[in-house]
Amino acid sequence: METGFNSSPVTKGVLFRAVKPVAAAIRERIKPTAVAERREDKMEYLLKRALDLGAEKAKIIDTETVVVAEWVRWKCQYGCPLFEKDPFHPPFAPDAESTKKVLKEYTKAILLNGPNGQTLSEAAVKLEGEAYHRGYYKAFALTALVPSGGAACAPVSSPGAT
Amino acid sequence: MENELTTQDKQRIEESIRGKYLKVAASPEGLFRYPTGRAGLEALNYAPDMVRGLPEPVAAAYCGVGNPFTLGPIREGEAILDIGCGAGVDSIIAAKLAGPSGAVTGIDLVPEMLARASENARLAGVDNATFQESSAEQLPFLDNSFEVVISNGVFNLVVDKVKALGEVYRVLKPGGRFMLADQVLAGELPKETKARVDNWAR
Repeated sequence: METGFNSSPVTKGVLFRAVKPVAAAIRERIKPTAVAERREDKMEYLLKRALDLGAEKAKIIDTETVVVAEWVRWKCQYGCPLFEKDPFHPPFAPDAESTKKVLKEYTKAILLNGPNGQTLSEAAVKLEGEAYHRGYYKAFALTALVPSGGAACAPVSSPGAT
Repeated sequence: MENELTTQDKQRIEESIRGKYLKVAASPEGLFRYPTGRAGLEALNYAPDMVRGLPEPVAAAYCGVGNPFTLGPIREGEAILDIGCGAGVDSIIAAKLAGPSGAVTGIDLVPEMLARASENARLAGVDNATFQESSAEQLPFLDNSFEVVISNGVFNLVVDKVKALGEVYRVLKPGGRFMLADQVLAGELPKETKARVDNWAR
């Protein structure tokens, strides 16, 4: 808006108003940057969530350290009461070769540890969802066996690269 | 464009500002192309009651280029910074609007103008306005100090306007208002740096 008070032939008097955004507005404006959360921060968050969800221990591992062996399938096929009972067990569960191939598509996994297999499985499934929403779209939960006296583990594989 | 100026250019600009406003501190009459004093205040639609309440020497010192108070209210209790307060007329008006629980700080480069501002505040019976020497480019205040920053006919004289605007942003509280009356270029600048420097404060 011009004031009509011009101090020279080449200038005009004007009015100008600006408001400094309040904190909430500033946060809103920088949200896209905040969403680009550092990878380390995301993994730390997921580890903490794993403990919140009931795991006693949670650790990031390289998927290449996961050993996949054929004998496990045989042990399940001959002696496991859940054989042929559901998709999580042989013969419907993925075989060793397929599992090796899939693991190669990932670089990192979160290994959960605790005494209750069901709790770990539920935690792993929830973590899969939370990891997905943080940009790990390939995150996939591998569930744990029910407790049998020893500790159970449920890994959630998460891609380091797409 | 301002970055093309040398340190010597900037010093010459500051000297010319000080020289001009040393005269303005005595009286702005005849030094500007637009009405000054009470006539200027009235032409710019300052609140009539406020203008009537200003002692004659205070009103006579006015040489603003616009009325920043038309850009929004000053509320009771607010902290206000007046950048380039000159003889303090806007500072005094802001201090009256903010009331006893509010406070105004006026800054200026020219000590003679600051002395005039302090005297004018005394004449106007305002005791919640203080004045100090400072550049707009480096404000001696903490972050988030003021609800309102006003300025009238000053930013056109500031050499590093980006830096000064950054300082305004820094010292304003979140939600704080910057209410500026100023001159903008509406024609061609002199091509020669020397001519630009010579004409900076004219």
